[in-house]
Amino acid sequence: MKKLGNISTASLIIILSIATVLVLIFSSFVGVVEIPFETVLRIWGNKLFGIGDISDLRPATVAIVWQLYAPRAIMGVVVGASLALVGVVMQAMVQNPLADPYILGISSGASLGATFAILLGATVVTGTFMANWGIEIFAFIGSMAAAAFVFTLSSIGGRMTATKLVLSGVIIASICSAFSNLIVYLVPNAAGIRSITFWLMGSLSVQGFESVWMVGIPLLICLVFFFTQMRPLNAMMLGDETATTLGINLASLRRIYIVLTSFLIAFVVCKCGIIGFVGLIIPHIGRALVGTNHWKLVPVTVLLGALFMLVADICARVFTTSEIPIGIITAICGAPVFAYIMIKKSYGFGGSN
Amino acid sequence: MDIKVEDVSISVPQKRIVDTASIYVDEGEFVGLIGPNGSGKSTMLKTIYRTMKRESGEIFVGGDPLDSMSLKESALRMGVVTQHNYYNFDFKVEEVVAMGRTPHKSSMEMDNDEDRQIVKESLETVDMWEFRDRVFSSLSGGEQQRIILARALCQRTPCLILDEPTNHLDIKYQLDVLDIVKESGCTCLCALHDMNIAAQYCDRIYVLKDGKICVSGTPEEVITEENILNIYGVKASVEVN
Repeated sequence: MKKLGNISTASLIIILSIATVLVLIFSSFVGVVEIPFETVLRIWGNKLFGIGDISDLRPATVAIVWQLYAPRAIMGVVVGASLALVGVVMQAMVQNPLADPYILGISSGASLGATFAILLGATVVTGTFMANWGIEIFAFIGSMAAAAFVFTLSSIGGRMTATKLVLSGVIIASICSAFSNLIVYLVPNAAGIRSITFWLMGSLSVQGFESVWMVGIPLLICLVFFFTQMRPLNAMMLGDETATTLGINLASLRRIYIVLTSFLIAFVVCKCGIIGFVGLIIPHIGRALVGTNHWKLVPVTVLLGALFMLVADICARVFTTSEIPIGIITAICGAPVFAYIMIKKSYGFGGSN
Repeated sequence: MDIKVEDVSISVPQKRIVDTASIYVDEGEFVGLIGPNGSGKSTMLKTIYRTMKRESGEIFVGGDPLDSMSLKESALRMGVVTQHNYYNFDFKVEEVVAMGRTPHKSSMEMDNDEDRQIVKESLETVDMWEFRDRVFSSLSGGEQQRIILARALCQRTPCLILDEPTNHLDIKYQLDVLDIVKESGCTCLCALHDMNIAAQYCDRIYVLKDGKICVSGTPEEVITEENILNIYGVKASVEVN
């Protein structure tokens, strides 16, 4: 399945890595404040590798590049990679090309948590001490609770199957969104509703390095773990029965996968809101490029996710003076790409070609 | 390696599907399992290849109880060919067959030259090597069935469990598939629909009716006009070729 002429998977991975690094650096100098490219490079070099001297630069410039733009760009890489990785794992785990990282109800759980926090006042519960963190904490609790419910519901009455997982996700999602709507309906708070809407559309803004670590560390753990899981992931896509006859213990692997991915996505959602479409389409773009084999698919998808998110974030910042929520950009940019892949006959989504 | 099924019963809520059935397949033997629709053939096999739980009874593969083995260990002893294979994603034929190597490998081990050689041999055995780069879902039913058989062969197991591997196939493909299975020399337990085919290929036959083994023996002993009338409720004439 060597599309793209005859580029091998290895060279594709190298190209994508280089592109990601270049766009990452580019991304950290695109912004409201114009800073010369050379200055940006010097600050990165100094902060990362300790080379050069930046004491002649204004502290404000260094702060903008290193505390505002750089964490945001790296956050883009981390979040894009996380969503793409979880998307590819979810699609394999539930054997459904329509699965995305939020299919187990995590997004609606997080929305419920955030709605609760914003409209009913997180400060009441967490105290003023953690006022700024209230929304994030509630979103995190909401998403983990939703995932736990989905997990429990799909295990009741024997084997956890792919179908039961998806249906449980739908059930929990509709309950959560019903309660979110109920809160919105009962609490007349226009400003609060606006901030929920904004939060739901997702954003990479105002992220310090501590936020990057909060998503980055779970991402690293997941990456390391899933790179040992290529065979089970491949076998899972052949269906529950076949995977079992190939010696894959689906029940226990699914549990581990769900726990790990829920944690990762809960961190992503509580830091950046709900950024749709990335986790759904990037794995498909990956498959169109290198095929269904996870040995090739996972690295390519993770890099594509990071790259796509960086580009989307740049678009979100440069198109207008005020920033567009990145969830809107990912959908606007992603949908046509997805449509193109679908129309192109060479990628069949598993249907007959 | 032999397969021994001792007094196995399988139930789903409110229905007993298999009732104290015992089956023995000796090393290298080709044993058929026949019976009307809904008699419990597939359920019986599912329990042997471990996608369904049994209520009671014991199953031994190569002398060891199934419950004492991990799924990986049993996948090293039994290859499985089922009739329904539909995948939601595009796989190349070669990738589908290479999955047969899964139980031989740790979860992060890549295929080596030996594995690729085995994949090639398996595909050649079913005469599908030139289809290796095709997308699995684009093949015809008969071709897909042969690929699934190649995957089971690729597992290099001493036993094969086959659930109506010839369903929906033309007579030529039916014979092809069963010839390949027979030539593999594996210990085979095979659910079959067609009594002619069963008579032609099986060393011994078990007949399931309403979850019970009602007749067993060599094809000559089992497939008689009297048995067919009792089991299927159809008058038939039996001629030995």
